[in-house]
Amino acid sequence: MPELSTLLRQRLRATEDRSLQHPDPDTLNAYIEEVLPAHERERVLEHISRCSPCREIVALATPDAVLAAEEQTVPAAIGVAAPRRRWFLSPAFGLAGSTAAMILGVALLLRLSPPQKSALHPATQHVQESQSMPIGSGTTMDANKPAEAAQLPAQVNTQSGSADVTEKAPTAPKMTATLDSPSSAPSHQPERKAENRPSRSPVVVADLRGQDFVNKTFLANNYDTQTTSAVYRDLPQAPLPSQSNPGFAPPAVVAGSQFQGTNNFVIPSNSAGSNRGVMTFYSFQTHTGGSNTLIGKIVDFGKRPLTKHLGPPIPSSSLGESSMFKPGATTVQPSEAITAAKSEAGPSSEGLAGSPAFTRRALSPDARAQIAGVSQYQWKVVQGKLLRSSDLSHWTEENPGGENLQFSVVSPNGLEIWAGGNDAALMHSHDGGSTWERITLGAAATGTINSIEAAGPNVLVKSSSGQSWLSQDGGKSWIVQD
Amino acid sequence: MEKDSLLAGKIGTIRIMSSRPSPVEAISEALRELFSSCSARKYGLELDEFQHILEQVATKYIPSSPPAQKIRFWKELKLEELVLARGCANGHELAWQDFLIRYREKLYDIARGITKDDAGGRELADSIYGDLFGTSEREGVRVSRLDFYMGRGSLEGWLRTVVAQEFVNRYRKQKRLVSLDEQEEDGVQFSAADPNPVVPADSRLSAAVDEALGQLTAEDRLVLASYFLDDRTLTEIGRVLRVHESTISRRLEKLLKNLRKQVVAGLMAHGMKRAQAEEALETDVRYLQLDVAKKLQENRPAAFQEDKGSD
Repeated sequence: MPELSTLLRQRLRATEDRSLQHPDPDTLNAYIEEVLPAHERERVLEHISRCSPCREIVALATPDAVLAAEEQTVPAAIGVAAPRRRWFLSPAFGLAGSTAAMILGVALLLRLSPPQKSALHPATQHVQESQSMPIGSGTTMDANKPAEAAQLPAQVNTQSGSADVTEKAPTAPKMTATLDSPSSAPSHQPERKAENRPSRSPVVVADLRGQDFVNKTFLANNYDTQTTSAVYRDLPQAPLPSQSNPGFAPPAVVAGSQFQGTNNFVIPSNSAGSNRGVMTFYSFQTHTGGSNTLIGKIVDFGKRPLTKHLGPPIPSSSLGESSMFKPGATTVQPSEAITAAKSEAGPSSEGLAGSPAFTRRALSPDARAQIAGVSQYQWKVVQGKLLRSSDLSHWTEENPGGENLQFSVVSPNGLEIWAGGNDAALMHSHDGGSTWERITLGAAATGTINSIEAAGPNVLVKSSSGQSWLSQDGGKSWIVQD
Repeated sequence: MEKDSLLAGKIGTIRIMSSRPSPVEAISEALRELFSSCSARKYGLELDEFQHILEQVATKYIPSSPPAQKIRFWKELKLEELVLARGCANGHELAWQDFLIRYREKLYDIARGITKDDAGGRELADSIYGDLFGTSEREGVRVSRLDFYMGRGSLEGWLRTVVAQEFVNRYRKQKRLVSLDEQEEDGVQFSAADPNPVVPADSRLSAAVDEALGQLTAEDRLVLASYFLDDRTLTEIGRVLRVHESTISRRLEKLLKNLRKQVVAGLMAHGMKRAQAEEALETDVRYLQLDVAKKLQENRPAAFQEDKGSD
């Protein structure tokens, strides 16, 4: 008996209609190109299903390229079940995957970046843990002997506390600075804080290069911790002093005798002085003649400070209300002090957030948001031109002084912008690029400036001729470095 | 009063009718618009001839259609290519220049692709090229094959179809003119007896199969005919129907299962018992599946399969 396939072959051939009138090439082509209306298409389909020559013509005339493209998408007109789509090959999936990979990459980069809370030196940690303890009469910064202090090696001897630490590290220098320590513990009574708060808070210590820190005790006693907590939450506690003053340059008086603003301290770490560091902090002169460090940073001198934006110094007026800064002044209620500080743009969270002591990376998201307005321009030098941008997408050429200099390097540091070019040309702006002044390094200055490292008033400039010029007064005077 | 209102109504109707263009005007307007939108004048066609061509196309495909349908139909035509073809058919030099630039090489490529042979493809393309130019005359007028292009599809697609049609026609003519020696060499004239001759089927079986085939859709029948009659591969069938070969495979399998059920049902309707019907078919799905698997492995490169039919 015949098989079904044989039967089908036999009956299909028998039912082929050879009397049909064939469609013309135009119609067959229109069928192939699917431009026929449905009823006409059905008629052609019916014909070619019964006409072998027309089936051959259609099969031969169907272009391979079109078929290859159309195999991916089944036309709904022919009523065939659509092939399965591979969802993982879709553009949307690819886009989502690449986005996820980018996010993962950024997260990994952030994770691999230097930790904000580095491990403190054991001695430092010990001191930090013991900060709540009242510290005896600590060392007082000898502001009258900067030269002598600068010659001191980085040797740390703990006087208060139990730890004895000797820092002798030519390869890994330890920088130490200290100010007067508090004489008594802060009181729990807010009304009496002004009376009982330590007159001289502990300050800075060693091995915090590249780290932001904050004297939380000082803040808790003097400021509104509710509003400042967001700013200081992620910063490490400023360690207590652990040694006598190792010596560093005295801070410059910025606003009267009450307040000393942003200062950079060159701290020699060894006798040769080759491993110097720069400490930047806000400090306040107290009625005892010492200073209190509120917040600060220590960075390597050879590296660009992590602080990008030097904010304005904290106005002394905002702190002048505090009895802490006025000997014999009346006690000020904390609430009034806070109100006064806020209304006069004093040491509120906003004012402190603009401090150069903070890096954005070290701050919490809230704090970063608070200081977002500080940043105005990004700077770069391209093909000898100094460019600035507020959004990193549109760059505008800056022509300081209208001198059409050929710039080679720019060093933005908050509102302080330093830009150097050929012929030892050095331009400086202290207001974020609004106004510029030409800085004269010296008659002997030659070459193209290829490096500018600025941290507050300390500026180190190097030129292609091998010269290094250092200024410790914001560019007013320069000395040639060896 | 009544007469006045009636008069006013008639005047209003006349005004409305006069503001609406008549069908003739609408067609003329559309023709003018279409004429200016294509390169008819560039290829030496005037508006009258252009109108004649479009009327010819409409008469062929949508005879006795209302003007609006005609206009829609005309707008869907490939007018640019249509006027080029008609310009060539009229012997317009610029039209031929454009045609040769655009389609001469394509024509060779198409012919080579269809014949799978360079020399044969070139010969076929030259032959078609002669037909397009018009080497024959009818009543003293040169007849160009381009006169039959109606612009429903692309001119390139039409050329491909024409080449395919010519190739099929040649093959069929060649087949009829094959020499006896070749037939003998092919073992056709004195071919050996078929070891598995098709036993004349029971009339009930033929009727049942015919009934089952008659219930198929045109597309299902096309699949079966392409597979069983034309011996096309699943890939080739899928290409024609714009689906993947696996879809054709599944579809064939399903079709054969259903056909078998319907044939068995038909045989039972013709008085057979199920066992008899099954025996009459003497086939089962397993065999068909094996058959399909075997077919799937086939990979015939030839573009044109010899018709193994009786004709």
